[in-house]
Amino acid sequence: MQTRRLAYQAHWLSIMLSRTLQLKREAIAQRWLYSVYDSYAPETAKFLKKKKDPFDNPVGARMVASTAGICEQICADELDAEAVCGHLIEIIKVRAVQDMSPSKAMSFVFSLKDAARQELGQEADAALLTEIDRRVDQIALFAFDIYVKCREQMYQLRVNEVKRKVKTIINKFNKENCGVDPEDEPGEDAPLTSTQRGVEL
Amino acid sequence: MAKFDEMAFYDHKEMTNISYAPPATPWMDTPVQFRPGSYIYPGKARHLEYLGLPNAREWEVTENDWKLQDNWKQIILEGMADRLQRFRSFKLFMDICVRCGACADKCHFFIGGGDPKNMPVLRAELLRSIYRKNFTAMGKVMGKIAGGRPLTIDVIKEWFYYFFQCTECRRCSVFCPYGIDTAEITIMGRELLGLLGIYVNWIIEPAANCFRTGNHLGIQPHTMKDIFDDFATDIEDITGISLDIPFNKKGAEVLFVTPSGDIFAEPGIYTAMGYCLFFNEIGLDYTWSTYASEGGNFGLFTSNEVMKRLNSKIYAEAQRLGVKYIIGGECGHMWRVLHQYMDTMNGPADFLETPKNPITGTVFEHAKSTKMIHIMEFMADLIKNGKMPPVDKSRNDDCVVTFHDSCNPARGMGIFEEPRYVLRHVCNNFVEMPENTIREQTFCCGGGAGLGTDENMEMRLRGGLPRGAAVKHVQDEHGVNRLSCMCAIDRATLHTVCEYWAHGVEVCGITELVANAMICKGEKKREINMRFQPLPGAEQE
Repeated sequence: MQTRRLAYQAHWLSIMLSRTLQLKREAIAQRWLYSVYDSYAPETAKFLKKKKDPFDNPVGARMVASTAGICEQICADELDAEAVCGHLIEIIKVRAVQDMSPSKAMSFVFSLKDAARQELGQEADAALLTEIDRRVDQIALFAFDIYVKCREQMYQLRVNEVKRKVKTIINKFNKENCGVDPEDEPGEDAPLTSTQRGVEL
Repeated sequence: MAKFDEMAFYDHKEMTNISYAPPATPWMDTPVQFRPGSYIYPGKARHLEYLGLPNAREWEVTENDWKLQDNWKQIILEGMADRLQRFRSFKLFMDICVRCGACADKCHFFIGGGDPKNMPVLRAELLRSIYRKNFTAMGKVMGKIAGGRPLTIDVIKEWFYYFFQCTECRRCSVFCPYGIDTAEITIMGRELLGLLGIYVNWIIEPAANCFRTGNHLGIQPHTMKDIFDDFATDIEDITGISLDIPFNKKGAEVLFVTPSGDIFAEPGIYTAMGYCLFFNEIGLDYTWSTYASEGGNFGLFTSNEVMKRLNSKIYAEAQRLGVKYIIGGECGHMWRVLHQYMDTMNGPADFLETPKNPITGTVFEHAKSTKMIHIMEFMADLIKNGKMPPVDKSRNDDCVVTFHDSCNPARGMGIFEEPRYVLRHVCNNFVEMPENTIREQTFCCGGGAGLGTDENMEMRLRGGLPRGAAVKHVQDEHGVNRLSCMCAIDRATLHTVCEYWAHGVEVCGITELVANAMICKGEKKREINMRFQPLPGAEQE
């Protein structure tokens, strides 16, 4: 009996969440997007907001698409982890190499809570806000994983570059002096296996 | 009143109101924070000593004391006064900017990184503010109000940080209504820093190596010959053709000069092998040189004088060998030096002849003065006149190719059509990137002008974002898997940029694709390409 009641409550919550949020989705996304822009210096924020061409302003274009996509997920009946990660990667790949501390780079996820609260205003129900917080926290955990993978990839690229510089000489040396055919050895440029690469970055 | 250890003591509303916005301090009052990944290691004393540069010492960027001369301020101001007098363009660029902002959002480092001091206008202001304070009446009297500021050690550190975050790509200059060349401002900024012995090692070591052995990597003549012997063996394995690669050949018709990066590391070596195969096939009487064994010139990123010293080897070797003219390979900044500076720096090369293609008879009038032409001009001329060796385009059918205009050949030289003409001749699948990312608007790889080292990887990836975004677009839309370019630094750095921003796209030179497609006289049945990978269709057989 208890279980059935809980299941019913969860179902009801999900419908309520979905309906209320759907109405506000675009407004939340817009507010969130602007708060992400505002985490940059004022001149930069102005540029990110103004330039619409995706090649003149690739950072802004990624943010527009990804914040909208994540908001769609926040407002959906259930959070689709794969879709969320796909959008998160687009933003985090950029912020992972920008001049930011890890905490600042990740801060944009949490500003989604504020954006949702400000948009929902008085209509916000405590249960609804708790559910939003829960989803944002879940997204934050995905974000941490992705951030770390981006940084790891960056260091790996550095290592690959150093190895590439000496590959020709080492191969030649091995071939001449050790009789080892470099083609038989796993090279430093061997593509990462799916386990090593984890999320496809 | 609640006590401090009770929750009611705190204003929760205020505590949870966290602002992520950066502090809005004026740029003059925001000192540089050196973060690993965004600066390059300083030049080692022994390289400065080798080139006879001042204040050679070991120092660290992150230490407070940069071990400058006691009178460093005087050195900078005198150096600036000297350059304002010697270089008219410098004086002009210091004065005429109206801060319209046309250049502001054109720099790849600003677009990708978001640091306002990477807006070209603001990067130039770093130097201009010192100029105003010390060399203009208004600045001397009004100070900050007139845009001037005093020269302090923080200013020097800021210069170091930002002038080594400019790849001198000149994209911003394309948009400047006054034609201000921000690259020249960066060049001047770096020269001034050089007076205090502030160089980065990734520039000054290659410059010293080049002065000593003739090339950036410090490859000595016997090693170079050894490398080319290996190329010949590889080419024979691929094509069945045995090559005799000419070195230091007196009386050859043409001296060939290209960056040493291409004879050393992947993927540039495939392009270098391509040159050897191509010249052999058309029967050109040419020679490589172990003395002028470097097309690149890191003197361009050091000082006017070092650039001149390094460049002088090319004409000196051409004269010694008695060649008629010079062909240059696929290199980037080499062409800015050759096209814009060599003639007045070390010319006139009146001992050479105006380049003339011995196969087609075409006279390259535009190179009448420098006596040096680009290999793409030479190839395009052969194709145009139907004298190019036959090609089998299908050998490149595994590649969907796009072309990255390297900054210096594009904006510094204006060579847009020839490489595309050659690519279309040897590939069936060629796709252009979006209009505002190619030709004169091309985006830099993020590693030019001496920034292509690994310790500033974070910075390079930021700078590579605009190019990476364009590559990703054609990868998604058209299945592009090969980014061709004619610059050795691009071939090294774009490899990494693509791995991060457009995973799955490989980088190559144009001559590599030419060598793949070219049907050589007497070749064996070709089954592998220049990378020893099976040719399309060969796997199934």
